Amino acid sequence: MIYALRELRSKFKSGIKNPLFIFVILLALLPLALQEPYLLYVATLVLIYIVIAVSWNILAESGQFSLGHAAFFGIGAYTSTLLYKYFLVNPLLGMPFSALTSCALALLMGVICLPLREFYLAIATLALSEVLRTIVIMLPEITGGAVGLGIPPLFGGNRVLNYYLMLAIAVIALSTLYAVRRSKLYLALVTLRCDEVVASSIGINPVKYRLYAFLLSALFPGLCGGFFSFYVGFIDPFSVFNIEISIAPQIMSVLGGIYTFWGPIIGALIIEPVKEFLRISMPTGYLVVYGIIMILCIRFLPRGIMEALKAYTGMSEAVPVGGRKCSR
Amino acid sequence: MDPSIITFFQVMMCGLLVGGLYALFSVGLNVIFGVMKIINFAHGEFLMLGGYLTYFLFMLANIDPLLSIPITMALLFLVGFLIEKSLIKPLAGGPPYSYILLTLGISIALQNIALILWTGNYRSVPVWYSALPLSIGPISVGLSLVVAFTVAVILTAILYVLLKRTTFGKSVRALSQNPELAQAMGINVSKMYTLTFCLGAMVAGVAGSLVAFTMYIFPNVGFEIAIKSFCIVILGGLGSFEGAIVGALLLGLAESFTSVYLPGGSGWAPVVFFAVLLITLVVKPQGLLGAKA
Amino acid sequence: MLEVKDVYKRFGGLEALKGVSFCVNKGELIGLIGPNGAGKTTLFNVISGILKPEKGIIKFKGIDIVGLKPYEIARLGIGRTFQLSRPLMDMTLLDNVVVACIYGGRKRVGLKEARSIALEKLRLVGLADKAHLTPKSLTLLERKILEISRALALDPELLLLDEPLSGLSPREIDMHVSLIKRIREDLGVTVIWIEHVMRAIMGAVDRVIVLHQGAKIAEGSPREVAKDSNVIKAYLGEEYAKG
Repeated sequence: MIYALRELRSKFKSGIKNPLFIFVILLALLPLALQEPYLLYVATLVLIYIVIAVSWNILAESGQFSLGHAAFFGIGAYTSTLLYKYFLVNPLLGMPFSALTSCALALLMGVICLPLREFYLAIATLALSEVLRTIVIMLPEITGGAVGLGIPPLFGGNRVLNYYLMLAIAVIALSTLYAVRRSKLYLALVTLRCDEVVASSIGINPVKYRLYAFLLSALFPGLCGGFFSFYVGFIDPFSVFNIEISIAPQIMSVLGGIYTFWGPIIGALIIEPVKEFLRISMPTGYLVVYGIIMILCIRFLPRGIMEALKAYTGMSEAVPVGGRKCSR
Repeated sequence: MDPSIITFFQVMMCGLLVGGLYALFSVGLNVIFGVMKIINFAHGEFLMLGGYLTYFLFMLANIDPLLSIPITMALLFLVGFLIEKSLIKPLAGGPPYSYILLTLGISIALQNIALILWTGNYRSVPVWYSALPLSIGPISVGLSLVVAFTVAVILTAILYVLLKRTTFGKSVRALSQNPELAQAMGINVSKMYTLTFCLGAMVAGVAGSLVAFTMYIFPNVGFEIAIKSFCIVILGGLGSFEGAIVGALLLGLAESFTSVYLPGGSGWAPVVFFAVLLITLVVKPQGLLGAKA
Repeated sequence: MLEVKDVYKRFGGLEALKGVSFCVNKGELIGLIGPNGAGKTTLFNVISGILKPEKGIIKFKGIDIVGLKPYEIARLGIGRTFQLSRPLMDMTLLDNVVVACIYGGRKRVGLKEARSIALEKLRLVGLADKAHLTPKSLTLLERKILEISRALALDPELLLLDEPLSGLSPREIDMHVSLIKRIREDLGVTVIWIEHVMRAIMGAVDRVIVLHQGAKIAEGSPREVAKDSNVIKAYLGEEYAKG
């Protein structure tokens, strides 16, 4: 485990590849273009979903399909909130703890899900998320229950500062997950997904790596959750444990290209603004767009936009983990 | 008789009756899984559509829900057919996650379309027998629930006979146990898949009709019941018809008892389903009556 | 090198392995034959840790391996291939072998080193020019070769091959057999080889072990075994006539 972490850190230091760097620069310049606070709010949401989608994708890479990612977001949100409420912990200090509790939950979930596959795993993660939500609702003395809690917003509600904070979180998340994609760990995860029996026969410990995948995919959503409650100044179980937070990253990943790095990002960039726009113009039932996109995607573009792009530019079928793109 | 004993039996009765409705819905879901090996996340929406259909037939044409059941069956069969042919069948041979996502997408789409068309208001069909209580000794239950339960039992029994005695049923069972052998014996797998799916949709639609006059119909009603039903079929054992019934009755009872006896009861009810689900998955993943995976 | 003593494995009411015992010495090329259902693949699954026997001792290089997890056994130095070849479809050939190098190899290696080792293994088997393609574009023979090179990436001392020749044309069979022979001769790997294609295996192996309905019914040189009346009876002439 320590060895893996050291490897990860070395990838991180070895420099960020160009596309990601440019992307981050563009994101950093965004507030200059988006003066209106609502648009900046949407942009912040987009960043959150990008992080959650890429994180979810990592878990999917290991063959584990989670329908319960909202649990990580929610527990992160409540951790930072309750730390502030009861111990007056500054939210910026509380957020790392959000990541911690999220990881703890991930371990629990991962262990429960060890013997489970596909549908069983999906429904188990969903169940865990819903159970957590109900527990929060049923303990109003501690958590504020269904009504929720109000908290002082971060930076006094300054949208720009909050955006940059979330951007910082996103940068950390994306660089880490990008580095992971080029590491040995990633190879193990993909092998596990492709064929678990073969993975065992070549020395991969399935238990260890399935749990690693859970941990990695829960860390940043937890952090985002910790940020989110202080961003909106309010927390309640229905918004932070919302099943939409579990489903959205899947749609985004599938639309953009599941099992790729940029796929979930592209998906989030497209879907989240569309959703917000629809929410304004069609407040009832705007989520129908989720359903329609899912259906159309799976039916006509199952490997997402990235695959279509690859076919269009004629790149060879596989991009090796090292990241070198092969010429035709 | 001691009032607490009366309450106990009341609660038990209620649990069993509701469990019967869950059972009808769950056996449909179960058969689809048994044959097609897919979990239909949109199954709840068949219930929801059946419920709305029943509601509107009653409100606009004054047709009693029990009489409109054949109409519901026919229309839901058609809906199932369209969905299976155009969306599900083309997915054959793809990665397993695609079914989860596709049916989830259909579910979200249908729920929200319902929301748009018919608003989120709770609908209920107020039949003449809704308000009447039926007294069995000191215990009284809503007559509508008893009627619904009876219909559910009859339909489940018909399904049972269909699956165990008829040629169609034999084909279904052959297909769920050994698809390759079944195909080699000349069973048209593709047609059977479609038929099974439509059958499940039809049954779910009837369940919706029953819900329409015993509980409420609203856009998410199907999804909520479907999630409970996943817990039920896993408890009973995916693929086992009897298991779905047993699971439904047990969880119906558990839900009923939790609502009444646990402080803050109705809030904890969903947790009961999930807790049972998680315990089942950890202790005996094949469920009570399921075959070893 | 490998000591199998009195191994029993049952599945519910079926006894798949009944008291199987044999020894394999370092550097041997052993054939494992028997009619369908004899328990050959089950034996491999037990040795490689996928299944746990009810009774029996299995010692590899003196270490008791019954009860060890498959990945631990792989790291100890036992590699295997599968009856229906299972390449990792979504990964390149190179990555297929790289994973094995990293996770199953004898010493810890980083990604870069693993890549050069993997390329070397691919070169050994003649697949180096296809290193950056995925198994989707490979022929059946190439997939089987990939599977072997993946197992070789573990630097194994014992290699278990499960029906490597099934589905191959006669010319491909000859090519594949010479590869297997090369593995034993050039790399010094001990090989146990399950096979149905008699003419190929009988001519290549040092010793043959015959299983029938879970029990060992014969053991010896190919010639001895071919004449053994029990073996002939077990096959009832059909498989044997093919060879």
